Amino acid sequence: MTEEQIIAYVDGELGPIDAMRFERAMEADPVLAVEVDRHRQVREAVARHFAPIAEAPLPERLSALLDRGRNVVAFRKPSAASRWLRAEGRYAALAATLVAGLAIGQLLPLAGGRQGGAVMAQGDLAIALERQLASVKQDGAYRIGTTFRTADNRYCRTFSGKAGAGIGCHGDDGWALARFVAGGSSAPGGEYRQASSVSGEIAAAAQEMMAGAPLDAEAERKARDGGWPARP
Amino acid sequence: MTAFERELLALLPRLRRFARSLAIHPADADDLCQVALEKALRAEAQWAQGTRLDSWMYRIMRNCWIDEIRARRRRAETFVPEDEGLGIGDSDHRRIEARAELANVDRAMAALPPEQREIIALILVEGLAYKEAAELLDLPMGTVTSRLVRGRQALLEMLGEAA
Repeated sequence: MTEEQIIAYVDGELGPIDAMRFERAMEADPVLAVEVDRHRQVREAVARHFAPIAEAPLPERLSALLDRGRNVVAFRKPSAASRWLRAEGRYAALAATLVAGLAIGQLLPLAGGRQGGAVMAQGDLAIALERQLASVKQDGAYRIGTTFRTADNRYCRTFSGKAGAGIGCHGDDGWALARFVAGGSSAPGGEYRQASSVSGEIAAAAQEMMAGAPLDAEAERKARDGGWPARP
Repeated sequence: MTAFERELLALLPRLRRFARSLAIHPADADDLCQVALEKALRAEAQWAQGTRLDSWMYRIMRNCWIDEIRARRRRAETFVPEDEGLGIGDSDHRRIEARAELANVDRAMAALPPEQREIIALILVEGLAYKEAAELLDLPMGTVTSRLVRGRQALLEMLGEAA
């Protein structure tokens, strides 16, 4: 028997007749049986070594690639974006990383000079920005923090969630992200907690964009029920 | 999630295993997986529905890995004096050898030249039949079996009693 035949036997690649002949030869030849056993052990050792990888939990960064619909942001076509919703190139690069859930601690810049698209909230984030009230118990994927008005009379809201924290501003075609810091972690009880430096940055950015005082609970509800009108 | 994404997700555990048996190092393996998945998502239109997605994905991943090996070799040629020997298997082996925590099987696999390692990975780790491996790699059966035999002999020698 050649080594090729031994290996083919171990791999189950011999036809039924050849396999039967091989087994007969093995009974008559203890040296052959030992060879078969050594090759079988190598095959099993290699298979056994790599097998647990297929049972292990999938890393988020890989499974997230396959759920493109779950992305928190999408691009809006270039349009009359408000002044801090420009700088397309930087958003494009950042959005790509946000989507993959990889960018941790990256911050969308304020005002860029160029005309371009904006990053729009989607899915759970869009729903939270549109409907959620900070004054009502929030147990969804995103928590809304402060709601405020900007100097050009738009409503903006700070939020935090699993994908990160940021500021969304209401416009004609939905909620655009004025800022977004990806990353963050969930506390064991399911309660969401941002790293304090992240919420600090978002709070500072909100402060900068804010005209007047943040909305109180009543004004927040009224603005929501009115569909976040651009003018009072 | 689209049907295509769902099917890829179902395959992902096996793809990670295949990636590990090619790249050996866990971080390299998941990076390889990511590159291959991104490529597959972009090439979705090229996958003929009704054909086997696993073979298609294995092929994409294997091609990504070959690209990576070639790039590494080019880098090594740039930075390493010529007389140090540039066998791809060798340089891979050195990368891995330095990591004491890797198991014997990892070290033995890493020592195989890539053309033997991929066949061992497909047949021993992924459990493909010889014919399936030959089709996937677009190689004649004779080439597959001769590489398989050489790879097995090398593993047997390296793993020996430990196996």
